[in-house]
Amino acid sequence: MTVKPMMSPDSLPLWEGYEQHDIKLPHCTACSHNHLPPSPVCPLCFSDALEWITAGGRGKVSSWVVVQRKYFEDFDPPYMVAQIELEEGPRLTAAMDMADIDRIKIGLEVQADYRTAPNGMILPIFRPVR
Amino acid sequence: VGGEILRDVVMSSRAHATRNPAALRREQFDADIYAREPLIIEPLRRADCAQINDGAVVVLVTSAERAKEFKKPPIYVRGMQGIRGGPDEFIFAPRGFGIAQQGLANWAEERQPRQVFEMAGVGNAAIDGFFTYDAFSPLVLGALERFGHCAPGTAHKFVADGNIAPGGKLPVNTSGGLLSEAHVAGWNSIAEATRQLRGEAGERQMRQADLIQWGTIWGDSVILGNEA
Repeated sequence: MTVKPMMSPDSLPLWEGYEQHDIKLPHCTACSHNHLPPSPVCPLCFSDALEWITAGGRGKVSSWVVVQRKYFEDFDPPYMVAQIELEEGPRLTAAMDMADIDRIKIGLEVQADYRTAPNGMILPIFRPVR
Repeated sequence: VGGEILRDVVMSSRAHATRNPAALRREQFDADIYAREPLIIEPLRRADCAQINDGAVVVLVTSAERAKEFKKPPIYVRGMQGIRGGPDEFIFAPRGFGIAQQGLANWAEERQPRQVFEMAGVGNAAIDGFFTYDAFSPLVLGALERFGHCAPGTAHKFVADGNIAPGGKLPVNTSGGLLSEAHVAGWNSIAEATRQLRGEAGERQMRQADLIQWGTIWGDSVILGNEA
């Protein structure tokens, strides 16, 4: 069975942004805080005056795991799931390439690339900058 | 640091479990066996995840006055604090790992809530044992730091030095906890704390057990004592 994430009107622009090879972030026009995951109000000040901005796609690895068990039919282990602290502030959970497993460490500078994931969706996959 | 910081938590749990006839994971266990455990979600190996099973625990809670009518000596709730809320909080994680781990506050330096100690009128040094929700081995490290038993970032050294193992300075989950006795949602550890405070823990009885703290990585806690 193909597994796709749940999408809501609050989060749809994020997923649609990936199709254009963009990372879209909710930006609070009241307090200037950027946040993820998308939500109906700013988690910092609770204002609903949000707008979507386009992130630069650069960040640093803040943590990662390597999934070694098969949980989803489309996704064969092992695969890396990382948390990337974007330059704009929020942390994004995304894939990294197993080809980079020997280079990964906390603080590694990475840049978003885009691939069609096994479930057919275009999703970011982060690679080391150098 | 590497996977050894989780291994040390599991080895301590197993060392406790070997003294508990009711524990399900009592087989011989050492660093080599840990290293051969299959990876589930790296760095977590199978042994870093709780022993899942069915089970039940009954805890009778009543006033200190009424408790005197029971046959067993009462155990007193000396202090308590509830689960924490706010955008920086998330169940199964230390403070700062809330919604998308945004770290809105400088949680490492900010004063952690300590109502449980204030209510009990004691500090960390008075706590004889620490019981915690150990469904996964890393949770133990975070809980030790959250309640000030270790400074931030040092719990793995505290564990490696044997402090939470049998006979250690601050024994943790002396029944083997969720990792080695069974996952009964932590209630089995409340029952074990009660046995320790009553001096009924047999082979695994702690040298001193007058005050035992239950506390989870996400901040709820009670301090139990055998005196009011």
